[in-house]
Amino acid sequence: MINFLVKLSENDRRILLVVFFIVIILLVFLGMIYDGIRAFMRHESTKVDTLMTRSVKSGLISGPKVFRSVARQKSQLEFYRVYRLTFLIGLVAFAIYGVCSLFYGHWINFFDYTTEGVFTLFFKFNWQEVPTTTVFGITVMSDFPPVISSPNFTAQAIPSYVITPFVLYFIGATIYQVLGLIARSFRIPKLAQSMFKLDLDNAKLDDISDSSPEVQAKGINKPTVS
Amino acid sequence: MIEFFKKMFRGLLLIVIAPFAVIIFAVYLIYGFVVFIVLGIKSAFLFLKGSSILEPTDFDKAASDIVAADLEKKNAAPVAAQPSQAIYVLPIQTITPNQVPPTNTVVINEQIPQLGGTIEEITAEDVVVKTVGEDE
Repeated sequence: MINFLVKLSENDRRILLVVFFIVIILLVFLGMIYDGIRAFMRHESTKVDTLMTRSVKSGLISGPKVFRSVARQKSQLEFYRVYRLTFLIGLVAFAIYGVCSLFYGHWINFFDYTTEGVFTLFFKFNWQEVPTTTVFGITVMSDFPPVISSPNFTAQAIPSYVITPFVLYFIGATIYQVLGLIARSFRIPKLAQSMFKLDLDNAKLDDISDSSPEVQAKGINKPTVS
Repeated sequence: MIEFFKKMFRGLLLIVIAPFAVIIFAVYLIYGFVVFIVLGIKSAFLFLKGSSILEPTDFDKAASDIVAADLEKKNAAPVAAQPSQAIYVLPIQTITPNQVPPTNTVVINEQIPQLGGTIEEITAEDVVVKTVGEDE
């Protein structure tokens, strides 16, 4: 390994160092995303507790099966309740898109960067002609690719500009609410298992084995949990 | 530093589990859409009947009634008696501060108060029934 590093040119070493730091930054960034998703899902999963508090307090939950059934039903209703607005916004966006496409005589290309797409507002790079260099036999990018198109406002792309926020909201809210549904769905069986389980490691029973069989038959030996 | 490495490890973990997570997400996305469509149709039928799918179900109503009854029972329960306090009956006389009660004091409770320094002048006509801590 050391011989291999010694043989490297100064340029190769620099590139190796840069690649190493980029990988570290990428991993840390992904770790932050992981933490964020986990925190969000943990927060969303506690909604099951909120939804089920009254049912559990009433004593109508007779067992894990009933708990799972009621909780699943409530979770689905919660998803329906929050998703209605998202669905409506998606529907409105699609309706606008359909009507505008009718006027244009063809389906509007959202990704078009020349006349009618939202990408007219962004730089467009030619990724086919990206400058590259070779490190350890691997071709890596060495500079920005040439620019094909610069941001420019076009009147023909106005429908795309109007629809894009709706579409972005629809996609974002769908991801958010489906993640919530997943989090709740994962918590329900977990709760159904833990709620009806007693940690027997800490349970203490009184020894009434010498009492009369009648007393023992009453089943009055309840454990105390410390 | 350890936290930094842990974060890097979690980033690596995300790369490993990402394909499975995407599959689970896709499955739940389809499930969510199906649930939404089914509940939407059900909601439309209920709407035509003049009801709403988000209204409390019979189960919810029963649960709510039980919880309300429990709450009512709890509120109606008699207030627990205050822990008994030392009550002592004194004859007519004046007691100046920092003076112990006279010997003929009848103590009607086992809990004899700490005397000395806080006994006020007692001016009742016949007897005085005083609860310790009342004037505090």
